[in-house]
Amino acid sequence: MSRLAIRHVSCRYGPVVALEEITLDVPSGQCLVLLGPSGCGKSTLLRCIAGLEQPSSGAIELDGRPLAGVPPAERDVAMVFQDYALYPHLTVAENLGFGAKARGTPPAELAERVAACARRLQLEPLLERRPAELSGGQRQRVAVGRALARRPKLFLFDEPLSNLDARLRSALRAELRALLRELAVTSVYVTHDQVEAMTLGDRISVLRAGRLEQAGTPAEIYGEPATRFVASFLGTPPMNLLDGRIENSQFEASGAALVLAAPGRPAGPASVGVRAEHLRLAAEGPLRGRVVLVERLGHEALVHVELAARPGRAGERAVWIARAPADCAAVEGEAAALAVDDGAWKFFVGRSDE
Amino acid sequence: MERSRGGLGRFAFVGPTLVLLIAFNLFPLLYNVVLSFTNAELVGDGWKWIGGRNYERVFTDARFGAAVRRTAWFVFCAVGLELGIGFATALALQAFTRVRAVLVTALLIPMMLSPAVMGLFWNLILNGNHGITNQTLDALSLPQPQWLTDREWKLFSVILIDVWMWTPFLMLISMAGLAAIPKTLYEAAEVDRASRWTVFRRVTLPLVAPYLGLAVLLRFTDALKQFDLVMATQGPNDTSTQTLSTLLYQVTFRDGKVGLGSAYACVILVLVIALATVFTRYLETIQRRTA
Repeated sequence: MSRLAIRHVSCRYGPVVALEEITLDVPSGQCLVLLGPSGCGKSTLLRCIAGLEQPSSGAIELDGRPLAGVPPAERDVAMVFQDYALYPHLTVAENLGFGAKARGTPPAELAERVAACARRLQLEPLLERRPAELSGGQRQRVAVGRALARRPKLFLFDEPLSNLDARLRSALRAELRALLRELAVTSVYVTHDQVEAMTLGDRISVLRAGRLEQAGTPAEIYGEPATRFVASFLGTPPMNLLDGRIENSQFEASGAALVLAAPGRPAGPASVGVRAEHLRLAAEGPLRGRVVLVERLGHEALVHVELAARPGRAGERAVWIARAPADCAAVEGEAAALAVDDGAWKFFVGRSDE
Repeated sequence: MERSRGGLGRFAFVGPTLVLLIAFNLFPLLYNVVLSFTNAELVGDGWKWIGGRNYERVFTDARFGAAVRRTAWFVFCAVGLELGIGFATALALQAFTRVRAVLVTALLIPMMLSPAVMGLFWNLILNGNHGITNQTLDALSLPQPQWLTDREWKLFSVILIDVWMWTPFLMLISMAGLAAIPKTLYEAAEVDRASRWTVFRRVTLPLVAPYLGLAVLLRFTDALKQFDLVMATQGPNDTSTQTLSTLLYQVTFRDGKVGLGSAYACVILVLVIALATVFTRYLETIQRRTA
């Protein structure tokens, strides 16, 4: 059981700022997911934790021990790489045992650990094969197993499932979740896949352009996004958003005919958002428009509604998506109104590109 | 109609090459086999069948056994040194990320020069009396061996020149092999607490081995045919540096015994093919392991 603390970590490459003032905590036995689009710095942060990169400033502590200047080998962390990083000339068994063997584990214990690991990950029939003879999913299992056999203080995952197809990804995601829960080992998991983040993380930290946008439990991040970026990044479909301005405690959308009371909020550019599940097709509602697309997914339907523009303002129209029952009567091309559940409006202060 | 035109079209593309191959490769090869069973000579016409007597002479000729041993020794030393120095240089060059391109270009120069020209250059460099090597040794008051005329040193000198010429080739292939190893493997090993020696022995070496093997195979078959350097520095008759190729040259073109020379050529060909096959098999198993 070990806990990880990241304090004011920044990472700069010349003029490029990869990470800025990141502070995070991972309590013992928990899984922290670093979520963000490519280039947001999440992998850099993971590599800083592993010791493969050096932060320009700030401190990283594992169990209260500062890791600055400690080489990767001495950190007692195990890492699972995106491209698996399996040794192509070694068999699965040798790959599994590589780390433990390099640390001088006695042969008997090594064999026992490899066997246990293979059992746990259903790799037993594959032990004598080489990576080239394995499927993507099997390779990923070996990569996880290699980290497992090390029995490190901290697990690091660098987008481990992103090279797999969707079906396999969801199967391995479930497996990985069960494994992390069972072992209750402290881990940091980097991904750009929000579903992985939601299912695997005890806590999620959303990064954008090297900055921490929001940290919280998956429910918090999804339900109460702190910024417009987090709102637009999480959820399938993402949160419906409208940009506009707040003047005199009143929000006025620029792209659609919508005026909302915004008591106590500062004047200036702002956005509002509503999750698709909080929108209902109704006879009357604050949002009016025209149904442009109905995606019937079997268990539900996603109704795309192009919102009516502000009177006298044409131009780009916003399209909002509402979740509806599978048998909903929406017809493409017809007028529709959207009702919003109580308390579902989220306000985001600031310009949309901030 | 379509078919026959397709056939003609195909022949139009392949035909010229095929004709040239038959004329300049296949026919000489078969003709050589035929000649090896005759007493044909370079001058004078008419030859007659003498059966396997040429082969008998090849295998009883003391020069042949000596040339085989000498060639084997030459190949072993030259290719071994080239591999060792070339690979070590490639490893060392990994540290120079900025000036690497310049260094590599400079180091490749020997490889780009003609071996015959190289032989003549080294003739001057190693000349016992006025060569720069011995002048330097003289200035340092060190012993000055007769590099090109002393029996003890002659073969060594040829090996030295070959190593100087071909080490860059091994270096180049080693560099390609090293560059092909994914960076994450090193990172994974680093996180896995493997020592530098372990990483080298268990990651770098096995993954670079197929490349080294291929380079050695190419150099090996080439060194077996060693001809130009020996010719340029010693000529074909010198008994202490005679390789299989120069022996063949001497028998065929100096002694004028075409029939016997053809028999030599056949034996050498079989020898090279056999060795190359064994080597290729070995290389394939290495490659399968790292695929």
